[in-house]
Amino acid sequence: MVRWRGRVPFAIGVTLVALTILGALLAPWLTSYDPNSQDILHTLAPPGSNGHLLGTDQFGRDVLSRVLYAGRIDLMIAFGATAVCFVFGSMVGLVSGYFGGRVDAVLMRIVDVVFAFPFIVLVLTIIAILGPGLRNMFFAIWLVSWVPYARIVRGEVLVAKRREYVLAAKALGFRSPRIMLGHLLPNVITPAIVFSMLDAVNNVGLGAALGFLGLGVQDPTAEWGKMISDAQNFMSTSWWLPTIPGIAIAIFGLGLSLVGDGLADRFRPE
Amino acid sequence: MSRFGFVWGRTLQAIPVVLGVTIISFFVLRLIPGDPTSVLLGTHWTPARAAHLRANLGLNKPIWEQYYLFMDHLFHGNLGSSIYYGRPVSSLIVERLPVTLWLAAYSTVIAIAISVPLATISALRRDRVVDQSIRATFLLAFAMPPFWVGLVLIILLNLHFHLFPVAGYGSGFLDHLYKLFLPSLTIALGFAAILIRTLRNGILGILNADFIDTARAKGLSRRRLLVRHVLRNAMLSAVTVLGVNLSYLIGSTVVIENVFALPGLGQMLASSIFTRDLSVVQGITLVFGTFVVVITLLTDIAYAVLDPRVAYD
Amino acid sequence: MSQANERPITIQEHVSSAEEILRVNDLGVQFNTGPRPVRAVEGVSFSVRRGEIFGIVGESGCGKSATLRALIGLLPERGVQTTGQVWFGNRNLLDLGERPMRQVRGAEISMVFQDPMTYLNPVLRIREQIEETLKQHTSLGRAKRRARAVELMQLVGIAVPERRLREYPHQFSGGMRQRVLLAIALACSPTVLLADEPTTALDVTIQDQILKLLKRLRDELGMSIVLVSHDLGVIAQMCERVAVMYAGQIVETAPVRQLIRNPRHPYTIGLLNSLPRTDTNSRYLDPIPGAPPSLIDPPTGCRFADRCPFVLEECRTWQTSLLEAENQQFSRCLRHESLPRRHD
Repeated sequence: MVRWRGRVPFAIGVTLVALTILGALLAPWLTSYDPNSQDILHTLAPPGSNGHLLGTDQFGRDVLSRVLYAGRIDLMIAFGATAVCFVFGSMVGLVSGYFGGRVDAVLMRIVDVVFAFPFIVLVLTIIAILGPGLRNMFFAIWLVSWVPYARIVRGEVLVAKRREYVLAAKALGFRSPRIMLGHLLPNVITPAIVFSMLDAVNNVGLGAALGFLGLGVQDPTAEWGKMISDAQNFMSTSWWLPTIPGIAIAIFGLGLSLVGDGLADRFRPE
Repeated sequence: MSRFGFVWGRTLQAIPVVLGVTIISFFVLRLIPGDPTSVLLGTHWTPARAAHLRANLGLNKPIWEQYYLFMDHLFHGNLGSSIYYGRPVSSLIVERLPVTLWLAAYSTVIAIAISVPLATISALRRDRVVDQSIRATFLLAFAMPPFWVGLVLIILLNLHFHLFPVAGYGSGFLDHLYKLFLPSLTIALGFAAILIRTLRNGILGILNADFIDTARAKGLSRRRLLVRHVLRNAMLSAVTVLGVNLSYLIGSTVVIENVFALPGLGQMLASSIFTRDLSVVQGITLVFGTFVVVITLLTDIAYAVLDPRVAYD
Repeated sequence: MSQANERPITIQEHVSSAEEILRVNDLGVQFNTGPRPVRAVEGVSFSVRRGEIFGIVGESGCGKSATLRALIGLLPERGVQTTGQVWFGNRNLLDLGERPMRQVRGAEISMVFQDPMTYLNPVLRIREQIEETLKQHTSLGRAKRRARAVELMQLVGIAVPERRLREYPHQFSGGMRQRVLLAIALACSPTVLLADEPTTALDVTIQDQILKLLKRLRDELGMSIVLVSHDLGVIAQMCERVAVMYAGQIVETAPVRQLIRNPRHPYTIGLLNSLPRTDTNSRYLDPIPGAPPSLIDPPTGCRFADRCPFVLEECRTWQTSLLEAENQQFSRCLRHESLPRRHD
């Protein structure tokens, strides 16, 4: 009975994520408006008016199309930024945990120091050096966000490398890379996969926060956080402007969280 | 090893981390592509000032000498000057630090006040409607970025119902409590999402522990059992959870200060990035990093005080 | 298993004429937690007299722990169904609501558990864990509680009680911790002490100390003990009467000496035969072949039938019950009369 209950949220999560992906991918077919084309005759139109399903913003740009196209940016952040960090961080953790020694000691120092900073402060600092913009945001996330994966995977490797199957592989004379990739990796990677879901949520939030601060994507590109920031001055009159992108973030974030929770439950039954 | 030994040991461990923090902050100004002085001086650039700055920072010297200079300045309280504000960075930080500290502390208090009762109820009524709804609500809260939650709260409680103010920090203790309530609540909601989940698991684990059987076999009343046995042990895991997630809390203050226009470190950080006032960025980074390390150390010490098993490892 | 002639006859006589303190009637426990219900305890009936040490012996999973916990309602609240009656004095404990039950627990019936490390709260001082019981059940003031705690520590044989009371569980050794658990259980001078494998987690030498302590406490305080163990040696050393459990049921019950000398159930015979012997040159152990049946769908008829060397067809259809075999000895075997006697 417990299993059954666990599957429903997971299924909901997958659905939400799939919806977001589909919405973003199929954007050109779902809406006829260009997300950046302005229409000064129809600014700040409420949802449902003049063929704008979700209304328009202060420049007359269609909200629905902006939300959908913004989805592409945020999806890129969620998957692109996270994936690179996941791969790189896991590899580093795998090697470091397996070989130990000085490499490992150095890595742990780096991990400690990176963890001493709030994540957003580090990212902001890097953006301060490199300048704002979407590309620099990706660099900033890649530079910093691989560290938790390294720590997680290293921890798992330390435990796992004393297990019998690794000793057996060593005794059979397998060489290190084969042991690491073939035997260790499948077993130690699961917590990292679970974490990556939450990390994706955080990265979307981070991207949105940076967009909100004006340090992420620049005009006129649409991004959910930036849309919310742009809407601040019109909050009291045009409720749909900050709310709808926020709902988009919430749907996507909720979906990822549910998927992450579901994966966690499946891989570690209580 | 006594408890003092443990505390001393942890403090020593923290020192290299703090050093690492200073190193990273140090590199903020040294990684600027191109000529650092043109960025640092911005519109105030003159050859004379540039030369002065180069000498000050030792930009022509080898990197470890520069670091030494940096640390030397640091120990004398000199963090450079802000080009935008025209004042020493240290005085700016001192001026704005209280706001951020207030926000962080207030949020923590609210978060704990929300999380502990909800996590306890959730654990006691495991898998029933109450539990599921609490978990669902906070799962949603976690998925929503804090700045959005902040905006929603502003819309609801300020624009529609005029309950709480949204700008400014106020003066005086009670005024702070009033003006900082909305921003702190915003941060607390996101933080509580994490806290509740971990606390709930911790309490569930305790509820299943053997010593609870003994306590039940003693015929203890529900209340005594809950408070003395469950919560005493849950406090331990709560302290750990707080420590681990601390930097998330502090990170949240950065964004929220900008949403609510609070004159704190986070808001200064964001604006300084726009104005490319990198001395300020460096200073704030340093402060944040050190702050997290110090608080983590304090949390570990608090844990050692609360858990009698620690010193006798 | 060697002290057959050491125990004084007077206690035996005393016990056998004493009043009945606890009577369990047709106790049943069903766990509804999985996809199908598990009948962990079925039709268990026994009685315990004042001052008696009553043993319940059986292998893991036979339901002996569940039985013990069911007596004072310590089973999980959700998903568990308990049937039958547990008569303590003139009250049926299973009928009592939670509040009155709490008044019985710890004050009139106490319990000690198997692993003293995990059964003590690690963050509370020993003194607090003992005095807690007193606070809950008595109206003694702080000074009196303190004094009683010291008294209890001395009773269970812990030296320098005042200092040790201020310490934490992890500062005690295993045997000491078990003594502390006993002190906690005895705080309010209970009539019955339930002991669930109290020595299993301890070293053999410590085991002996604790068992001797339990006996001494029974002698000095006159309380009854229900001792659960999988170790026949412990049961033989300690108990006056014993019930043998298998697959959730009692299959035989008798005074201990009688059971060992003359078991009247194939499972008991098998158990006794499987014990390692030092008096023969046999190099082989003689375990009972097979495994206990699943309790999800317990077999009708005798549950030991599949492993029984004396099985008949009618054993599998017989609605089992405890039959009187000898004086005070009962067996759940159809053929108890024709079973071979032990060669001893």
